[in-house]
Amino acid sequence: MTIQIAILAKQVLDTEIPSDQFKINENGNNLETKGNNSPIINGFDLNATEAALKLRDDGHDVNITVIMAGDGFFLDIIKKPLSMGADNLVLLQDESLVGCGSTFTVKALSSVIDKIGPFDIILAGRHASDFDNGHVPIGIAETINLPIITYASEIKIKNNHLMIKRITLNGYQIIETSFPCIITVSNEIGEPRYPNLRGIMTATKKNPKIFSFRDLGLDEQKEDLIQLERIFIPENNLNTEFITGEDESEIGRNLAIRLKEEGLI
Amino acid sequence: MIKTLLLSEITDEKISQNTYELINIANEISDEVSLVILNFSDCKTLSKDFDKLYVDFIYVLTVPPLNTDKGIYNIDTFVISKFIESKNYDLILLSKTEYGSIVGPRVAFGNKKEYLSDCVAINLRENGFSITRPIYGGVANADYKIPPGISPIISFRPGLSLSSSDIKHPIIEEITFEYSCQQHVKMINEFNSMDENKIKLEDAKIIVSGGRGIGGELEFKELNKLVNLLGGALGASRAACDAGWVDHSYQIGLTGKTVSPDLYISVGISGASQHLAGCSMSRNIVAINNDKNANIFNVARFGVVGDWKSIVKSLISTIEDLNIR
Ligand SMILES: Cc1cc2nc3c(=O)[nH]c(=O)nc-3n(C[C@H](O)[C@H](O)[C@H](O)COP(=O)(O)OP(=O)(O)OC[C@H]3O[C@@H](n4cnc5c(N)ncnc54)[C@H](O)[C@@H]3O)c2cc1C
Repeated sequence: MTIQIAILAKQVLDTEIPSDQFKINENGNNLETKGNNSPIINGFDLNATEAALKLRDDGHDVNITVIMAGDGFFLDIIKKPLSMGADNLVLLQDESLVGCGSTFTVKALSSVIDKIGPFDIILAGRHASDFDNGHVPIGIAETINLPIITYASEIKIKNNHLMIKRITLNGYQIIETSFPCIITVSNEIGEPRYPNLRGIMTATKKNPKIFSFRDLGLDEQKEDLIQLERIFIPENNLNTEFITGEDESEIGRNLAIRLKEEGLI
Repeated sequence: MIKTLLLSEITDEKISQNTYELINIANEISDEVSLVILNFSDCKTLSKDFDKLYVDFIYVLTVPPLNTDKGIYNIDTFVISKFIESKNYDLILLSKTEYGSIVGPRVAFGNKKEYLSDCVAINLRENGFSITRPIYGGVANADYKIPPGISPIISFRPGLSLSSSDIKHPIIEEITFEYSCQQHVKMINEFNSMDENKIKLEDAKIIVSGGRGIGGELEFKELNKLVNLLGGALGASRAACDAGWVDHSYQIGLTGKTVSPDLYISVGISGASQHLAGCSMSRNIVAINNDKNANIFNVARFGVVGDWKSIVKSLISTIEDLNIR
């Protein structure tokens, strides 16, 4: 029996860009980059893709469907999971999905899952690096009534059971569960693999299946109950005292003396 | 009249520091503050602290047979949902800890409530509230407007406010819940990677933290010499953890630990916003980095530009000298 896996993924701004390269967009409801940087797929979502592909490496028969909700997709970028080895790409496309509150995102993604599911395992990144919420997968789990396991760093399937290594602040836990369930994946699962040439070729030939709100019987989004009012970049007016000296050895010594003077060591 | 409910956390059989912080935040904007404590251990040790809590009501929720499902939190989600069903609060607050990041959204979405995470400020408005939360790892902040009457659940970043010592003599009520859901998710085993004999990162007065610039596992041992000399704790950036030089439990930042020591010495760390999210509340930051344009210098009180190896070496020998004298 093929194990159906869904991966929830989001297109975000590249977070590896230095923070002073971000500015507030025209509408004042999100950031954009000062340069012409292309977006990326949220890093943790690629970790989730890697987790699914590792299950295939383990010899399991898996079918991997990547689901993305948003608008203004960069096709070559969002095809990355396909070139890594995922099988299908499904988009829910609507302008109102950009920068909407998570309540609506949860509702929208839940209806996509409802439409194209059922899935045995739903994977998602532990959070998206734009609004840093991390509660969309949890919200979906509560909405469609599935167990949720967070921060996975390893997933194994044994006799139709899932064994999940779950990262905690001070170590880890081993959690056992059965299908179906939702798992959020953390970077400790390992670097997402580089697409190989064959993967890239296959991905170019595949086209995403695109859904609109109408297709899912979703109402146009009403206003969020909790509304984003403004975004601002906090001022930083700390005066750094640079420790100097003839050479690094003297700089180190001067640092020790300054810290001692200040009673910090 | 603003009524606020707080979901407490217990660590090492004590009401956690985060809970005291929440109490302070709540008192600034509420007329009545209630606190929920889930009783999984024997409450007798806890109840000694009850009079220290500046709240009006304490609800001790007991769920026989008192075993937890830590990390999964089905029981907490169930009991808290049941509890709030019969009550009416304007706000429900908890901490953005591992616990809060799971239980908060589970209770919120399970009960069709709005949820906001990782807030750093809340204000009363003429009509409702407003909150501020960092986005993009802290590159920017976002303000949200909360209308009255929707009873949202909001998590707060730990380390925001110091606890006061006023006393209020709260009214205490115990409620017992029955929980008998079938468990589809089971914790089989739990492992602690931190050395129990060492100072906890969260409690340390001095932290020395290394990043990708350290260069390897062996080199981290050099850094540890400084840690031991200062009686502090070792921390790391995600890049250093991902490289496998140190265990992920040393990671500081948005998805690691949040710390606020008196002195944070960052070595070979560029200062990405997601790293700063976990350490910018430190009282004094020292940055050692060979790139004078590194972002870490924007938050550092003391900056040192140069190769960390020679600098740390002479830092260590000078401190040893100073200590002898
Ligand atoms: C959603 C999300 C969450 C994240 N969460 C976290 C988190 O919790 N914690 C975290 O730390 N990161 C986190 N990150 C990653 C973060 O964005 C950075 O990639 C990471 O912090 C970089 O680590 P670093 O500073 O050690 O490495 P780099 O950015 O590579 O910096 C290394 C620094 O070392 C300096 N250096 C090199 N050699 C020397 C030398 N010999 N002497 C002195 N200096 C030297 C360099 O100049 C450079 O500034 C997260 C990212 C995302 C997208």
